[in-house]
This record gives sequence, structure tokens and C-alpha cells, in this order.
Amino acid sequence: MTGSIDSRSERYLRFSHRSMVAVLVLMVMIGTVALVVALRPDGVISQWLPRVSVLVPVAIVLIAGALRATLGGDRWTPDAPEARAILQDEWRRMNMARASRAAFVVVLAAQVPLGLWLGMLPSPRGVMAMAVTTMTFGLAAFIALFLYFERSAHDGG
Amino acid sequence: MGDEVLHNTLKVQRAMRDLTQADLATMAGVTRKSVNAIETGRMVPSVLLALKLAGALGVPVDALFSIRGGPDHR
Repeated sequence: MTGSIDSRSERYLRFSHRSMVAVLVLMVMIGTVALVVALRPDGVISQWLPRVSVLVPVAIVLIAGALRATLGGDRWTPDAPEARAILQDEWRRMNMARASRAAFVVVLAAQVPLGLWLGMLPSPRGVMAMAVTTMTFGLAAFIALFLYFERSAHDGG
Repeated sequence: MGDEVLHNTLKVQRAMRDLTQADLATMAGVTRKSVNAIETGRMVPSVLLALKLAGALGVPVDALFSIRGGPDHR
């Protein structure tokens, strides 16, 4: 039974996992930069941001290309049976639901310390920093928890 | 009711047919991770998935899954 379909399934699974990791890293980076800009609008990063912001889409395209290269010449086709199996997978859906519930709790719990920390800032900056931190924290927690829940137990072939 | 757990013979049935988790996953149209999670007791499959797995292995569902513990111990 092991053949090209199975190895394609495995490639798709690894691609899906790597894509989630890439999204997590990108999101944390963008969120961190946005927070720094909100905290220090006159800082070095804020001054450099308009000049380097054009590199963000380029970086995203490069990362997407690198991820696609890991498929080894194949391409992600959403209608392929292997892709459908991943997208409609029960274990994956269950872990998405678990991760979203846990991330919601994490975000709620983080509001008090974040409020104490960022509440000292002047109003527009404080609100912006709070929003950026909450979104980054929530999405990062969701993806990280999803990846954690989805890990396989090493049992069986 | 609270002590009831779903026992499965997935690993045994799979081994009898010399199938890997990936093989069975492909046959049932799910991922290897789902098969792994069910085998290790980390996931209780839906009726649909249980039927798919039983169909892929050619056995009745109750040969694959049974309830252990609780008042209705089988």
C-alpha cells in the first residue's frame, strides 16, 4: 500500500505543519515590530519602518516559495484527496477547536497584566499597543497550541 | 458513565493486514495523525470516521471499537 500517494500525503502533512510554523514566526515578528512602533513611535525601528516595509511582501513571497519547494516539485492542490484529507481531518479540527478555546483563555488571562503594563501609556498609543499585543498574543497562542496538540504519539508504523 | 473508555483494536487489525498507519489513513481518507490519535486513545472518532475505518479494514464497527468500564462493560 505504501506508494506515491502515501509519500504525497506525508509531504502535504509536513507542508501543512511547516506553513503553520512559518505563519507563527511571521506573525510574531510583525506583531513585535508593530508593538515596538506603538511603544516608541520616535525610535529607530519606527524611523526605518517606511523604508523597509516594502520588504515584508517580498519576504512573504520568498517564504511561500521556500515552503512550496519543500513539496519537491509537487504543488498544493486543495482538491487533491490528500489535501482534502488534511483539511477535513477530525484530529486537526478537534485540535483547532481545543487550541482556539485555550488561546481564548490565554488572551483573557493576559488582559490584566497587559492592561497594567500598557495602561500607563498615553491613550492612542496605549490602546494601539494593547490591540496589537492582544492580537499577536492570541494568534501566536492559537497556532503554538495547535501545533502542540497536533503532535503525533510515536506509536505504530 | 464517567469511567467508560473507548477501547479499539485498530493496531491489531492493522497489524493483521500488514498495514502502516499511513496506509490505513489513505484507505479511510484521513491523515496518519488521526489514525495515530485513535490508536493511542487520544481521540474518540466520530461515527462517520469509525465507519470509514471499519469499512477500510473490512470488519464491523463493533469488532474495531468497544466500550470498556462503567456499568455496561462489554
